[in-house]
Amino acid sequence: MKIGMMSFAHMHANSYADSLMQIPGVDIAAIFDEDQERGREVASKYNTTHYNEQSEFLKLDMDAVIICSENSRHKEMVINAANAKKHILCEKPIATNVEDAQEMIQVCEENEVILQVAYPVRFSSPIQQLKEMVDQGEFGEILAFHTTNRGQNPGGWFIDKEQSGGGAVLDHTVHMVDIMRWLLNEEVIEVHARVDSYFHQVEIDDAGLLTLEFSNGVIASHDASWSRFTEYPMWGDVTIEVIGTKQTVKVDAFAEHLRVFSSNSKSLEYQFFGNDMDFGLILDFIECVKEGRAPSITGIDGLKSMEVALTAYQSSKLNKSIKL
Amino acid sequence: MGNLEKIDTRKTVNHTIIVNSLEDVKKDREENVVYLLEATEDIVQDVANSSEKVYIPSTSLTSVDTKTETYVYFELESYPFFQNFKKLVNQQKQTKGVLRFRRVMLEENSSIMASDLYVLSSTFGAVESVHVKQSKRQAGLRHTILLVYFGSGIMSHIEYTVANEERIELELSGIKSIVEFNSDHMKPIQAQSKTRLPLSYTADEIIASSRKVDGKLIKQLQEIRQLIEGGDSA
Repeated sequence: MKIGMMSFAHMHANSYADSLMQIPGVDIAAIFDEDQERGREVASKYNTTHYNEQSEFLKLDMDAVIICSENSRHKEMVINAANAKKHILCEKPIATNVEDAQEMIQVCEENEVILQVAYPVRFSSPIQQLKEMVDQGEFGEILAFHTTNRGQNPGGWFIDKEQSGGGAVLDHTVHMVDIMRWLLNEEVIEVHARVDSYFHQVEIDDAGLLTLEFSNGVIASHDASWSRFTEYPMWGDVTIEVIGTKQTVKVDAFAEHLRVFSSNSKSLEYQFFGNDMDFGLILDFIECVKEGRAPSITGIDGLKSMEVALTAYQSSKLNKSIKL
Repeated sequence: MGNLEKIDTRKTVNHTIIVNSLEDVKKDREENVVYLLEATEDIVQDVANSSEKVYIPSTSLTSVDTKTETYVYFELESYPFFQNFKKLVNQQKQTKGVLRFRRVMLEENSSIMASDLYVLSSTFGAVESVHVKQSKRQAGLRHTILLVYFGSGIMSHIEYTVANEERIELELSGIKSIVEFNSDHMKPIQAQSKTRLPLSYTADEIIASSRKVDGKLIKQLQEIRQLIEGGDSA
């Protein structure tokens, strides 16, 4: 199977490309990147060809593409790839506004190509075990969720609103909203949020707290931020606590780690040894393309979670709860 | 007066004696002794109506005649972890940050929520806004989420779960500084122990952190309670 990579602007592209290299029978056919230096460098690393013309790249014989561009360019690249009949894995967030996401989904449907959104957290083994527990009714009735997704400030285009569409709240809300939707099979109907810029003296948001309500009455709190700094023992976190009538369970997707103490700049470092969720995501996408089945994470999943994050900005600005 | 299970008499400077009633105190009264009584409603009223200098938990304040020599203490503020936390906050002068406070408690008690919010506002500044969301009550369980903005620039999620255990989690993310506390992780005795540590305090800590009950304090607590009760229910 031949997979093309469209842009390495998002750092996840490296991890996805590494994953592709590990799957038997899968080749990175080519890399498109308008950043010449970056494109040449990664093409050399993955022993493939670099293209800086999108149209030339999309003429190649490829089964699918993985898009890791700046968020604002997802729409353009997804639509071009779909029209070129390539199946697509698009980095999250799917887009920077609802209308673009809707158009992307529609164009992919019209061209009968797969559009999967990259939510690797669904492939974390602890999170998958949590999903099994929920599906087997081990929580009784779920009353509430308590979630976090904090990380470091990625800098670069992430802190340019034109290119990213939003800061930490957009970046770090979509994963956990997707997980909660997945666990419940319900949609968020109300958002109340506080969004601000606290940690990095940047104009874009780097902190946000969201209170959510789902259509079945389940409530949730979510902490999305770029509050972790480089000296913190780990890049960030992904946690969820499920409060149910039969039991309450806390899941930390990165709890499996060694604590490494040293006299380096980081006196304590957590070395993660849990499963590689990025690899799980890529393997699932490849199997999906191979089998011609519907994607496990759809464009609608991408749209719904993005919509919640965007609503958080609106709620904070207006200082009121917003119904969806 | 308080929850005697939580008062650690091993490390106190004050000489303490546990008694069952005010009568016990009157019977064998000693000078320079702090008498500890369980804060049941009857005993609180009984003691508060006496001329004694009394220290009561904030959650019992509603049943007290405030004309007496009554001092109130807030459970959260009495915990050594919180005293250290507050000291750190004051040292670091964090003006902006994200606070996450979580309390798992044995029974639903809006007085605890109001008391916690009072203590947190005394640490982070006046409460500017509160949004409350409560889950359905099912099988004796309920979860409450308060999204609170403190005027100093601290946004916070303050959450309560009624469950069959007691736990407190606290985290403040500021600029290049993160303070974390989890009472489950900081238990000095693990095994099968029923230790209350680190969620215990001494009579010394109660006295040091207590405040004289006056009209202003009662009004502030009433206002906070109204803010909490004005929220949504799912």
